[in-house]
Amino acid sequence: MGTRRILALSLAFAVLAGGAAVWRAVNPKPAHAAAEGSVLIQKAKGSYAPPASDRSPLVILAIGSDYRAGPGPCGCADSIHLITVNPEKQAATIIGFPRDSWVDIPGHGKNKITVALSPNLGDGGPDLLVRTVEGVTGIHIDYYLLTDFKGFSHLVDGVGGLDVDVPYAMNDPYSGAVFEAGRVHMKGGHVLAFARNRHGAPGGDLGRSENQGRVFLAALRKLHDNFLHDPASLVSWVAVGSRYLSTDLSLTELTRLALAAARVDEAAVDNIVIPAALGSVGAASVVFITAAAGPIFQDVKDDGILNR
Amino acid sequence: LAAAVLGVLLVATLGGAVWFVFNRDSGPGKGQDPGKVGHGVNFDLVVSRLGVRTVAEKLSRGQVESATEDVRVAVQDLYLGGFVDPDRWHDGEFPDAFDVFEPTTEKNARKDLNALTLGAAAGRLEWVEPTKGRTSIVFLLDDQNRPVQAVAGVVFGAVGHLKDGGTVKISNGADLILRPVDGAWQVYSYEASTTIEPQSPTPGASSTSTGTG
Repeated sequence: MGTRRILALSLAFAVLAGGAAVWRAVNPKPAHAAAEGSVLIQKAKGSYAPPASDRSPLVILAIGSDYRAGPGPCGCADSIHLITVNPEKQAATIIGFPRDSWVDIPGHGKNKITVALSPNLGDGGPDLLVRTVEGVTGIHIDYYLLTDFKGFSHLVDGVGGLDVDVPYAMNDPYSGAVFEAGRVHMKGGHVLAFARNRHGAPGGDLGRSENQGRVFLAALRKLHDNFLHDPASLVSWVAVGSRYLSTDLSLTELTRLALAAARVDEAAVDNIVIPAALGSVGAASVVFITAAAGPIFQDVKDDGILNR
Repeated sequence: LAAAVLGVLLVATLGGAVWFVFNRDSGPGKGQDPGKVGHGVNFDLVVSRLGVRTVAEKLSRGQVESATEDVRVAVQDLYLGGFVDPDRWHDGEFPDAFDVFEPTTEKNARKDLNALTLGAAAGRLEWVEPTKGRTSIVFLLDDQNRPVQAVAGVVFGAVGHLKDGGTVKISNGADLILRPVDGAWQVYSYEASTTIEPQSPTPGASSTSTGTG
């Protein structure tokens, strides 16, 4: 084969290859010809939050202590609420226990439920109160959240106050609760007064317990709204909660709980007070839990939701 | 003989040109400069806002700086793997994008492929040119002021160059909640949305791919 022939073949190959390269460069072909020519539009949304706990329902006992500096308070529970959360259905139930509920306290016989928290009882404290409520309801409690007057007030102020639904006008000199009916923005001290008001609440202790549930709903609504507007606000809630709550939840568990709560809509939460009747034992005014409470405990035990 | 050598050199040169054209999709892979991909694209996620909350009595930001960079890089990897770097799309499976998720979360994230990545649209895209990439990061520090949680809010925008010519607008927003697991920040909760549409809305445009997570 002569030099000229080799050169001619080389040039011909080079021209072909170069042509192919140029053609490929100016005519890029799509890999998926089926979709060629149609307009590309794609819209998608997705979200995921891990369940607050592996347990379902998740059961928490929220406790407000009457502890504060100075003489008088016994360190008893002023506010006792069993909160059952269904993480899958993003729904919950708040069950209030009047502080004067006459119940069996393990190791101490019959007494007002409030004293189960008191150090005056020897082994009194959150653990004993948890066992007491478990005994009354037959429901296992996973965690407790405990705060006192000062902590509660700081807690509310730390999240910027709450918009509380006041069910009726209040003017109670004992607690300092003076409010018009309707949704009222309150700072910590005002929310505390609202939650403590017993004299101005229909049903006394029962009405007060229901109002305390309204504070939980206001907090849930605010957390939900904050989270929708700015998910990073969750961090502020957890930081404030961790600072002013005493709990057996770890910081990670508290975050997951807050994340789960932030996704619960207020409409998916029932706020009730256990069926009870006012009465007395000796000279003491007490509240007797009635038989109607049994079906409620049974109802929420399986899925945390009140189906009645 | 000189002519023959010249011919061989010419063939070699043009062969190189052909190879370049047919392999021009290839860019730096994972493990190389994380911000650089093909087409001269250099993507660096910018931290636009940094917040810190602590449960400790007194705030100490000592560990925040390195954690910020760690979270930024972790989130940037998600966007490189899911949007920016065609070499990491892997036929629309985006394996690298899901490295940043915790195992349980990853299972759910893969179901939200179209929200967290280019998703099905990758099959029609040649390359992506980022126009926007920023994140806000808010840390939660524990009682020892160690970063234990981070919420990253991401805004991402890009121009997508189609294989058959033309461009599309890519918009993504995501809120990611991360925590350190064995020294690496991983996403355990997310909320994300992605929209891919013509740059100028086309009246009566037909949809080729839609999805909801």
